[in-house]
Order: sequence, then C-alpha cells, then structure tokens
Amino acid sequence: MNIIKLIILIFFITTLINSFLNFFNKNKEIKNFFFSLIPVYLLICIFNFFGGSLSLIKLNMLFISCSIIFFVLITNIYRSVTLEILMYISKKNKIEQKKLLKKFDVKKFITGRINNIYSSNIYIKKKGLNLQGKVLLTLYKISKIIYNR
Amino acid sequence: MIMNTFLAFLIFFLTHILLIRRNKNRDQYVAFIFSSIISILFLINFAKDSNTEELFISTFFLSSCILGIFWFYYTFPTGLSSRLLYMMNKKINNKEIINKYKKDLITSRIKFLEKNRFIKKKNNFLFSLWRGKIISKSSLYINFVLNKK
Repeated sequence: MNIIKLIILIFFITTLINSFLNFFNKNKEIKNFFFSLIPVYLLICIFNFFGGSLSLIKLNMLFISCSIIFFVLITNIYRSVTLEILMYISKKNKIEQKKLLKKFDVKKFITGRINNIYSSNIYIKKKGLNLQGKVLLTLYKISKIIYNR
Repeated sequence: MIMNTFLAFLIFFLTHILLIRRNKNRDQYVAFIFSSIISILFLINFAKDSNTEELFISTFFLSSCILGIFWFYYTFPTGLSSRLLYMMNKKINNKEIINKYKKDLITSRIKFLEKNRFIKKKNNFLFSLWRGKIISKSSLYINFVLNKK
C-alpha cells in the first residue's frame, strides 16, 4: 500500500473514531483521543496486513507521526488564545481593534480559563494540584529552565 | 533508520534551544524554521544509503517530532493556562492574576499575529491575511472532530 494512502487512511480513521467518541463522551477530548489510538492502530495493522508491505517499525513510525500531528491539532487549534483571536478576525474579515478588545474582555477570559482548570479537576480548591496538574506544572518549570524564560 | 531520525531530532532540539536562549527577543519562527532545515539536511546526509520510502518515513517522523516541540514551546513556557496553573499553585489571588494580564494579554497577541503576518493593521482596522485564513479554516475540521459549535 502506498505510504501517502496509509497516512490519509490513519487521519480518516482517527477523525471518524474521535468524532464518534466525542459525540457520546463530551468534554473529554484528550481522554477520547488516547482511547481512539488503540482501534486506529489495530485497524491500520489489519489494512497493512492485507494491502500493504510495510515493516512493523515503519508502520509504527507512521502511526506515531500521525498521532502527534493529530494531538497538536486538537490541543492547539481549539484552545489557544492567539488562535481564538485570529479565528475571530478571520470570521469577521475586517474588525476595528477597539471592538476586538471589547469582545475579548481579559477578566472574562482569565476567569474562564481558571474555571476550566477547576472543572477539569487539575486543581482542587482545598487539596491543590492532582497528579495531572503536578505533571503539567513540572513540565512548565522544566520548559522555563530550558528556554531561559 | 530510527537512530538517524533521532540524531537529526537531537540536532534540531539543541539548535533551536541555543537560538532561543541566546536572544529572547529573536523571532521564534525564524529559530524554528532555521533549526528544522538544518536537522532535515542532517537527516538526508545521515540516510544516504536508505531508499526513498525510508527517507520519506524518516522525514515525516522527524517533522512530526519538530511539530511536537513546537507545540511544547507554545503550550508550556509561553502558554496562558500553564502560567495560570503556576500562579494558582502559588496561591495568587484571582484579582491579582487579572490585574497582571489586564493591560497586555490581548494586545501582545495581536502584535504577535501582526508581526508574523497572520493579520494586517490598516487605519485601526484588522484584516486577516491568507496565512491566518488557512489556520482559521482548519478550525472547522477540529470543531467537527471535537463536536463543538
């Protein structure tokens, strides 16, 4: 099987399974993504067994690459502040800067983010950070050291 | 094949850290693109004996790893939510957090978009350019996958 066809197939299957999982299991995008990896991997193994001739290492490399790209897409394009602003400008085609600043009220924006952190149980008011939160915070500290920020 | 890719990735990792650490105000996109090109050239040099299929898979894998680092950089040291999590863990008040970001959260993002030619400013109006339009169009796909309106 052609490699490009296989890449398209991986994206297609991941899209289908992810949208199916997100339809039934709302607001758990990252969990759904990781759940979708298992059936996608099994399916591409079956497809490769019947129609392709890629070795296991090559197949795994392709699968990991596609998964990383998909992960970056769903985490960055959906929730980034900068992209949210960009999308709003693109939607309106032309907008005055003052109106944009009014639309993106910083107070609302930050309280929304803080509420997101509380609702996803990364930070619990009385207990503090959970395991996921600790991991994220450690990554943040490491990144600050690496990039000297 | 994997070793070549990892070596090229290591070169990318070290080059981009060196470039970003040396000058914080340096254009980060230039640093990323410059180190990506260097690492891909190294990969081509390392994989002289491999065939086209192997080279394609290695380059695809390397590109996805670079994209992963790109995601890491824009999520952790420069991302808003991770900084908020850090502040919450330090028990900083919500009001103090809002006051800290009140002035420049949105304006700094607009400047970033303008500097990297995603949007254009003319007579106090903001316009989306083709780069920005491509990214905002991809949000339709992500919204479909994540089942969001």
